[in-house]
Order: sequence, then C-alpha cells, then structure tokens
Amino acid sequence: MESAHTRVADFLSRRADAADATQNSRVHDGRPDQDARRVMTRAEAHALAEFVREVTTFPFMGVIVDHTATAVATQRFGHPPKGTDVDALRIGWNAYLGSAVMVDINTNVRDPTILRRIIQRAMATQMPRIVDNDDDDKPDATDIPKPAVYLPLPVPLWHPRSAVAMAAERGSALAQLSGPFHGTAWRGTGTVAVAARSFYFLSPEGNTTVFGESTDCEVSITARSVDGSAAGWSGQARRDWDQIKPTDAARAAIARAEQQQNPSRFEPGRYTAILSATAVGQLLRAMARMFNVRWIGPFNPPQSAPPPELETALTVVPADRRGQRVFDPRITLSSDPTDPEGGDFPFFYGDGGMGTPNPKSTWIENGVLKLRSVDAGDALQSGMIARKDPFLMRMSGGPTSVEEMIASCERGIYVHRFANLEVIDGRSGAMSGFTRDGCLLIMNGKVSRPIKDFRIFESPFLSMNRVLALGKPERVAFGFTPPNAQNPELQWPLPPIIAPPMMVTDFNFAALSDAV
Amino acid sequence: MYERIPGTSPNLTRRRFFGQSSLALAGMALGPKFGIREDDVGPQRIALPARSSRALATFIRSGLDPEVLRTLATTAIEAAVHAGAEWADVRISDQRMYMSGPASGSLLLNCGFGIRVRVRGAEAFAGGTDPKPDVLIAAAKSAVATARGLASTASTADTQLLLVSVPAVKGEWHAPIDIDPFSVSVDDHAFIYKAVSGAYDGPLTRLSHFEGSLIDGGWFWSSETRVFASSEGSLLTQFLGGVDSRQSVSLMGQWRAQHGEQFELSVPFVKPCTGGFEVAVRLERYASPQATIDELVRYASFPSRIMEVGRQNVVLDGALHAGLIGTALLPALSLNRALGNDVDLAGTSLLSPPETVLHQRAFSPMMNVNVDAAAPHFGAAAWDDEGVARTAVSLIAGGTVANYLSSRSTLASLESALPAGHAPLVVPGVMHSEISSVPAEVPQAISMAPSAAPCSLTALAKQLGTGLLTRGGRVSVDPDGRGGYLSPTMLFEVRHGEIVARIRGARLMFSTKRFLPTLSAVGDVSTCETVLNYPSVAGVPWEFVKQAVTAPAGLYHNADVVSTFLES
Repeated sequence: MESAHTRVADFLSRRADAADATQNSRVHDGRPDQDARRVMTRAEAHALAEFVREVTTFPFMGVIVDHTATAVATQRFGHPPKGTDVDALRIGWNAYLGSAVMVDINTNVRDPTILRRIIQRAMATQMPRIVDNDDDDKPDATDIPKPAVYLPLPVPLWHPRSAVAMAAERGSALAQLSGPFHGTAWRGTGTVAVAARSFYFLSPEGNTTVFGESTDCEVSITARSVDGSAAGWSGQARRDWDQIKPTDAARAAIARAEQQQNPSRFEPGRYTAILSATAVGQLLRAMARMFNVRWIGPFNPPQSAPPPELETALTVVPADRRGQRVFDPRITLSSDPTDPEGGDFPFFYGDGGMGTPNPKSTWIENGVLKLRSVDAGDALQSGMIARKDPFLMRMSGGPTSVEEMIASCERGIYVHRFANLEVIDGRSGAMSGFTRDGCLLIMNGKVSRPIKDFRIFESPFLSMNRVLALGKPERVAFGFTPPNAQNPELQWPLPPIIAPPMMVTDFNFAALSDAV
Repeated sequence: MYERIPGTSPNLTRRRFFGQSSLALAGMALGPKFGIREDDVGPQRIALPARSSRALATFIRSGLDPEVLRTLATTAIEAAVHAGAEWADVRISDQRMYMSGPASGSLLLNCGFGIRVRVRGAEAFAGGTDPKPDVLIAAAKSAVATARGLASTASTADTQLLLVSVPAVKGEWHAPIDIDPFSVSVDDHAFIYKAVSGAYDGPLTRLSHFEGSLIDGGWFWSSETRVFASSEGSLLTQFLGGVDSRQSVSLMGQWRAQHGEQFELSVPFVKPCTGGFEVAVRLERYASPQATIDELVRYASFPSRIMEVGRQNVVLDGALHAGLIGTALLPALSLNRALGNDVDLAGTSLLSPPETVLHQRAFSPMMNVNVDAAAPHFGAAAWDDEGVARTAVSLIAGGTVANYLSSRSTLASLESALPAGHAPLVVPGVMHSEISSVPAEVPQAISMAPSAAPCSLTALAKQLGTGLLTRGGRVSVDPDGRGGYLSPTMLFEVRHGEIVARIRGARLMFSTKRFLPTLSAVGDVSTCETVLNYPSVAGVPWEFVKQAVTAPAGLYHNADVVSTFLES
C-alpha cells in the first residue's frame, strides 16, 4: 500500500515538474522536450490500479486506468491561433456480485486519500443492495472470463516524437501549413491535433495485466477562395509525427481548390463515381456499426426479425449471410491490431472496455461475409468470440491509380470527400449525405470541369457490388468536423482506417447541393 | 440490473494539472482555508434510494462557498497575468443536477473551470474539473505557455488584441426560484413525477386497437453557482437554476412493424425553463394525456400511402419548425462561422460575408427570431460567459439580419471590416460554455415570434389547402447550412385543408436560402413548441450544449419531397 502511495505521489510530483518545465522552456522546432509525456506510463497506471485493487474488499472484474490527452491548435491564417489542451482520465472498476447488480465507478480523482473515500463510500452504500439481489441460479463473477496476459504490443503505437509534438510543435506546424498560402489569393484555415493514450487493466488477483499506449496525429487544412465559391481540403493522419508533412498537405489543399474554381451545376443522377481514399474511408466508418451481430441490416436475410433489445441477453444469434458473397470479390475488409500502418490496441478499451482480447478479424474475404463483430458482454452470452466493431479497418486495394480510373472513365464524377453521412435505413444500409468541396466531372477519360456539390443517397453495401476498379490503400485523414447526432462519440481520435480509392458504377448523386 | 454508484461524472474531458501551488503568488494558504473538502470536490454521481423523506441536498455536500469561488477565480487571473498573459478570463462553476425518471433518480455533482488567455495575439484555453488553487494556477500557467508557444511560431499578420470593449462589472444575480428543488425530498419529487406520468396510464390502457407507451427520458433539475472573472476587473457571481424534461407518447400497431411508421408526439412534462420546483407543482399546466392520445389515434386512423416525389407546400408544426431554426438558421448566424474561422471545423455560413449581409433582408418578413435572456426562459442569467450583460437580442427582425451571434473578439473582427461611420455594434451577450469548456456563440434560449392573430395548426392547414403537414421530426443540414433534409416523425397529405392520408417513406429536401424566405404564414402561440437542440461547439473535442428553441408552426412553400426508399 505504501509503495502504491509513493508511486502515485511520485507521479503527481513528476507531472508538476513537467508542467513547470513546459512553462519555462520554449517551443521551437527541433528542440525536443524529453519530458513531454502527458499520459501515464505503465508503472504509474499500475500503481494507481494496484491501490484501487487493494482498497476494494469485494469481488470485482478488474480495474481500468484509461488516460487520454489531446493537444489541438487551429488558425485562420492571418489571424491569431488558438490552442485547446484536454486531459481525460478514467479510473474504473466493474464488479458483479451474484448476477443482479453491476457496480461501476468512473472517476478522475488521482489523490489516493480521496480515491479511497470514493471507493469506500461506494461499497458502503451499495453493498446491501447487492446482497439483497444475489441470485444463486445465475453466473457469478468467477465465471466471467478474464483477459489473457499480453506481451508488449507487436507494433509500435507510441511514437516519442508525437509526444514531443504535443508540447512543442503545434505552432510550427501551423506555420508550415500557412506557408504555401503566402502570396496567393487563397484563404486558409488549418488544424493541428496530437493525441496520446494509455490504457491499463489489472485483474482482481493482480496477476493479469493489459497495457497499451499510443499516439496519433492529424493535420487538416482547407483552402477557400475569397468569394467562397471554391474550396479544397487535404489532411494527413499518422501515429508518428515525423511522417506528417504539413507543407505537402497545404499544397494539396491549394491544388484541389484551384481545380474547383468556377464550378458549374451538373444534372443529378446515377453516374460512375471515382471516390478518393478519403471518401471510401468515410463510407467504411459509417458502415462500421452494421457489422455488429445485433444490427439487423444488409448482412441479414430480408424479413429478419428485429434484434433483441439492448438490455436483453443475446442468447440466440440472429441468422445472417455469413458464407455468402456480399461484396465484389476484390474486396477484403479486415481489422488487424498488428497492422504496421493501421494497428491499434489488441483489446477492448474505451467506454465499457475491460481489456477483453480483440483478435485479428477478416470480416469480408474476397467479397464473402466471414465474421460479425460482437461486444464482450454478448460474446459471453452467445458463446461467440468478442470482436470490436470495425472502426479499425483495412480495405484491400488494387493496381489502378486515380489517374488511370479517370482515363478509363467515359462519363463520371470524382468525389474528394463527403459530409454529414447518416444512415437513413438500417436494413438496407442506405445513407444520405453531401459531397464536399466540390466535385470534378470526368468526360472521355479526362477531367472536364469542376462541378458543384451533390446530395447523395446511396448504400455502400450496394455500391461495393458495382466496383470497376480499386487503387492503392492508404491511411485516410477525416478532418475535424463535428460528430453527428446519430454518432455523437465518433470524433477524433479514432482508430485508423486504411482505404483505397474506388471506382463504382451507378452511384446515386440524388440532387444538387448549395454547399461548397 | 445495472447501477452506477458514487464516483464521478463520465464527462471526463478536461485537463487537470498538478503543479505545485504558488504560495508566493496567491499569498494565502490553500486547501482547508478555502473551505473545500477534498473528498467532495470533483464530479460525482450519487444514486439515491427509491424512497426517502430526506431532502435531496442532504445526500450531497453543500455547495461551494461563493466567496471561495470568487477567490479562486481572482487567483487564476492573477496567476495568468503573472505568467505573462496580456488578457485572461475564467469561469468557475459548481453545479448540481437531479435526474428523476421511471427508475430511481440520481444526483450529479459537477464542478469545473475554464481559463482563456492571450499572449501576443495567440489564444489558449485550459479547463479542468478540480477547482483547487494549485490546479487553477497550474492551468493558468500552462495556458499561457501554450499561447506563448503558438504566438512565437505560428505566423500571424495581426497580433493585436482585438476585443470589443465592455465595462468591467462586479455583481451578483439570483435566478428567480421560489422552491429550491434540492430542498425537496426524494418522496415529494417521486410523488409529483408519478402523478404526472401516472396520468397517462389510464388513457393508454384504454386504447383498443393499439398499444401505447409513454417514452420517458427523464426530468432534469439543475442548480449552479457560476463565477466569472477577467483581467479587466470583472467579477460576477450568478446563481442559476432550471428544469427540462423529455417525454413522448408513442403508438404501436401492425403497420408500424410492417412499414416502420412512427406515431409519436413529444409531450415534455415541463418545457425547458428557469425556475424551481414551483414549476412542477402547478398541475394545471400539464398537457392533457387524453387529448394527446386522441390526437395520435386520429393520425393513425388515416390511410397510409407512398407519395410521388415532387414539390409541395408544407406546414411545419412547431417542433419541426424549431428544429429547422435551431439546425439551419442559428449556425448560420454564428459570426465565428460567418467570418470563416470555422472553415476547417464546423463549416461556414450562408450569411457571409457578414459585413454585407448585416442589416439586409435575407428571409421572409414574417420571420422574427430573438435570443431570450430573462427568466423564465431556459438558461436565464444576467451576464454571459464573457461577462457581458445579457439582454433580449433580435437576430432576425422582419426577415432582416439584425444581429449575429458573436463574441467580443468576433464582433471586433466584424467592426474592423465595416466602413467608417457604421452604426455601432453591441455585443449581444450570448456566449455560453458548459462546465470547463470553451465559451461559444450558443445562447441557451432562442424563440421565433408567433402570430399575434389567432392561427391554429388547423387554420394553417386550411391556408395550405393542398400540400403536406408535419408533426415532430428532425433536421439535418450540410456543413455550411446551405441545405438539408426535414425528416418528419409523421407526415400527412392535406387536401382542401384537411388531412386525408399518412405519407410513409418520404422526407423533405430544402435549400436554406430558397426555402426559408418562402414562409408565408405563422401560427399563433397555441402552435408553439419548444425543442432541445444540441449544437456541437468548441471543436476537437466537440461538446454538445443544451439549447431550447421555441417556434410556432409555419407555412412554407416549395419543399422537395424525396423518397427514403433506395432503389437498388
């Protein structure tokens, strides 16, 4: 206990020193700040979790220490920049006593004395209710499978340079983003964001632990004409800050905007669509939840019964189309935490995550549906293997570049990205949304002219059966638009998506949009 | 059975600093002298017993002493200035909320702070959930360091501190509350709640061809002490309080399962407002359950059909009209967006550029939209979260853009773009921040004026003649707010002023610039409905704030009917 107190106190002191060091030193490029880490190390998280474990006197499932820090800077070039730093800590434990009552604490208090009082108060007020509701006929806490012990993560998700960038390089990144705009008529607005995360799980016995740490970076930039009639956007997302090239992103945004000058209207309808990797990534993100076994939709036979209510146990898995071809045979969709480009923690984390293993999953293989995602609780009830919804996703690609797609297109529309994608019909997977920053009309193998945005109304589950060509996959950036009401929690940072550009037939550009 | 037990709020999104306290700076001892009990500070959620004669307040700590909060606020400002800030402001809040619902209620304690600083033109924000002196001082120092770092490396053409000048103010304000809801016992809260919700039991049970249910999203009481301080000398203490609730009545039937049609009407027990428990005990103010259910049954009795795509005139009921105002119009009136500051984030505004749009007619002359500042409107306060005095503000007057939703800095930017001799601009005092979040141009209560002459929903349908009528629903727009969709919960075909059929599988597409000016008639106060809008603000991470938007029914023209069925 005393060592846990000491460890926690050390951490607090270390953070204080780091805060002072940050205040006294300063932010210049190439001057690494060795003390830039803003989230707990494994040892610090273990000390805190061990303390909680020692204070808790009844059976529980485990302790979580989940720490996320983000550092964001935005600027409309020529105007003052703004910075926002956020630090979110969640210390939680879940306990099942008997089967009827789950006790869940979430706190961000790190002071050991206060933490002890919170836990003791929780136990004192809830213990009578737990005892009264015990049911000998239902599974007990000991029946719940515990996560296995993990070796160090097979792919590095933590990059020290990214941690340094959080403290020291947002300003210089903004300067690099704005550089290409000097001397041009374009107006630019840029965003630089860096995140760090550590996640730690400790079993009740203290002999099983899960730990992961990661960094992620994204820059986003929009170039617009003075009259607002033309715009171009570009973004980069990488875990390693050294791979972020703000100047390249800015030049790409300006080039896109230059292509979109003087757009004209084009008749809505169904056309061949050449979707950039970003646009495909946006579709994949919007589809992710529909892989869940509880979602009765495109992966289920028609006339399927509605799914059981969320509070109801999933003891009977709804019939679905596993084993059937649901997409073009060239499409394989998988989630692999060990993916060097698009890896993530190999376990459940975040809200409700208790370190349950999340294995590599190939959802769609050569167009055939192989797997559905299953929440950890549902896995326990149904006997299936728990697999996270595929917000971490890689889509297979092909050999065709965007330029080759354009060259092969007699008449079509190039879409750089979408906005406000929302599911309209869960059964068919139909989505509505808008294209953003304008589109390009392709005629006879060439870019003919820029055209205005469209409203789209399409189901990616259908359009992925009308694939003409696929390009080389890359990690996509999503930018920082607000999450929509359907999915309020879907905001940066989220696991990586690796997607290729894609050419499909008969994409529904349903109506014109006035958006730019 | 799933229970949350004492811990803290799941909203753990703010920075916490554990820097060493600056005794020399503060010149005072910390901790107990401030009257803050260390075990009670920070977000907490406390489950309550289902029955108790004890007042809610006896289950939780007493509110933080306002004098302590004021001292903390000035300490934070001093720390920021001492660290090198050229300007700083801070908000510190101590909030309690009681959520009652069909199950047992729970109490939520939340406290936090947010500090903004400026150094050489760059701005930085830091917030936290632990308003202790050392934490605040560390946050102030860190924000200054961040701003200094941004200023030294990010290129800025204009490093002047542009803020519209407002007088420094010292003062205190209390929301007009007769009965503090936290002085009321658990049993009394439950009694009133069950009396109101139980009134639906009989009418729902008596339904013969349907199953009906009351969908109960809970009843939310809040009480807050909020202190604001600035480096300009303002020091404000406000005691805020309010209530809102979310309930609706829904009918189930065979056709619902087959066609996915919804039959639901929103019937919040209380409209969002500033007030105390006295709001709840006025039983005569509650909507009649029987009347609501009869209305739903009537709607369900019409034949159902699929409508051809095309263009139709439409009567939007108050709920969907409020949604349209909140989702499409209000973001367009954000000066931050209109100036282009949010291009890479939330989007732009169709009401750009503001220097040419201001004082120009952009909408129907029947449109009059105001910010409501005074009680009993939701979120009433004497000053906003920049310390600016709050007054009712006209945003749209007779279709003309009268004001933007602006901050001191965005208004300063607009002023610099206006020609010399322009009419003076007044800071509207609409800035609002959630606990420990960045202040944003999001006032908490907006309303559109109803018709002074009698004009019910039925009368509007008669004016419509042939077209569509909506009940409930939601609105989605593109990032620039230039267009979007109206997705009514219930959509009806009207012929000769009478509803003749339900329409399924359709929603309405609109272009904001073309659609809003077609407003040709507005309902009277009987058609007014208030919806809770949740605009996302601040950005990365995005926060959702609660905003009450009130609007009467409205008759619009030329909405495009589109199908929600996908042709494969």
